[in-house]
Amino acid sequence: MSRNTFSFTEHAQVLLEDPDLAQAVPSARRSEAIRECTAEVLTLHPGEWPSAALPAAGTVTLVLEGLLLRRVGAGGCFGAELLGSGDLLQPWRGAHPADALATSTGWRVLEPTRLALLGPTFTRRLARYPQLTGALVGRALDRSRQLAINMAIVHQPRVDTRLHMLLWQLAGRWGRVRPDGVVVPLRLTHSLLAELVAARRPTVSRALALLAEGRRALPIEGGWLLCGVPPGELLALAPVAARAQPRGEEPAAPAGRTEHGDGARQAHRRPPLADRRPERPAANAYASGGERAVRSR
Amino acid sequence: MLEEDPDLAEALPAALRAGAVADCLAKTVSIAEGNWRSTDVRLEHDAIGLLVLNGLLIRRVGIDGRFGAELLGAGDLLRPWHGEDEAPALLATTGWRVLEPTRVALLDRAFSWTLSRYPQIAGGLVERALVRARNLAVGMAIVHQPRVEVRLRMLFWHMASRWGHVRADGVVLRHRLTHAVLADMVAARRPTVSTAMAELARAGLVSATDEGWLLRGEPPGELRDVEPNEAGPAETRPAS
Repeated sequence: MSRNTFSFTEHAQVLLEDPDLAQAVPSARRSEAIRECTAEVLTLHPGEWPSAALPAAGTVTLVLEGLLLRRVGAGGCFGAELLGSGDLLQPWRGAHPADALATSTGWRVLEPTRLALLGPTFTRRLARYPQLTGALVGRALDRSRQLAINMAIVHQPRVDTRLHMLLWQLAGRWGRVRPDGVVVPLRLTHSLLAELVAARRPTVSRALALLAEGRRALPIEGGWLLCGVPPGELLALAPVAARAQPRGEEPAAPAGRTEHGDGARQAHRRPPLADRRPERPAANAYASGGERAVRSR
Repeated sequence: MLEEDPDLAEALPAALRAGAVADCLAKTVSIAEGNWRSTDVRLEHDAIGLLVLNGLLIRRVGIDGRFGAELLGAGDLLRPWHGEDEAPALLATTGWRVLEPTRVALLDRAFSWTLSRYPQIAGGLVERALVRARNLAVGMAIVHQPRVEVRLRMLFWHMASRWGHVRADGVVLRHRLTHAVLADMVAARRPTVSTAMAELARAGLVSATDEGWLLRGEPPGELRDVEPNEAGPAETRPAS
């Protein structure tokens, strides 16, 4: 893959391009905040991105649009994280010199990407709107939330289950509903998927074939089509551990409770399918007449 | 808050530091060991979050009976209420457990107004929030290792960067983590972790001591090159 060329092309009104962030500011001051909170924009083209070469050490950046992959390697194995609009990054910050474990970090731009550089000038302007600090902290923590879910996904013993879950996780952010299922409009190679689910590429290829055979996830032009319901829904439909235990694994915790007992809570509990979308056939929780985003950021 | 977390004050010009230390006051909450209902701590929706001042807690995320875990300690930011109003496509459960008595500072709405005088600290908090993602990404790279004892050794050294204490015979991690917690952190099952820990102890690489876990030898960055054929437990992954 080619090395990236990049350019500082423009200044952007960050809150105009990221209206969810603007929502944090009280409406009376929103227009003023949109006008003031501008940032220099870095445009990246698809390819490897040698981020460390850029002279903006320490700067936090906000993805305005595009898609990037962050790879972290340890001992010759790589984990990966997919990042898109609304994500905060600190691409110039690699491993800490004090880190005992040797890791490497690499970036790859998968789709043309624009990054807003939230440098010291932006931070000073931001300070006039204190609500934005909490909103940006929330954005930064979104990444750890997604990665923690990913960690639970790679804990699944079956690679086809991991992939099915991963695709539904991606659908939660990038998916678009259409009558025959949910489209995940991301061109993800089998190698990339392998890094996202902690498996080997040939295993991923076989597992994807299984998903296609079962009509759970079908490759389509420009992405994936998910049919049926998200795999986690099995828990909601069968909360008592009456379902089959896969491959002799240990029994699963009942839905809505973790092994931690009383202290555990259900964060992302969804109502049963019938309650959530009574007008829809249960076969596809997201099916609707027209195409629409599953969830915007 | 800056007295208890002096790293945050580092971003400030020296002339402002004393004033910032006096201004940046936050309420604190102490949390006892055990399961923690994070919703017990009430903050405004637009507050910054909770900053861990000391202690140790674990956040677990489960899907379909399998759990991932994230260990959090001093300097980490939490926002337990964040994202709860969203309806993600994938059903997940979240739980918190306090492993060691923990104190958190409540960075509420009033605190965020105080920070408007010190934008560098606000920026520092955003960076702190990103540290969690960086640590988890390293965890993701670790769980790619096919051998569980390699994952565990890497995890211990990764934690040692943050919490390790160097002494003559190695590096000590004073946190007492059960095999079940370790299993969640390396995406393995508890019995597999126990077997792998016994293997690491036999090899003298990671041992349980009265003080905590003792790590010996070098960090395992190039372990695969050095010990390509070493036998040991491997996690069963049927489709791999």
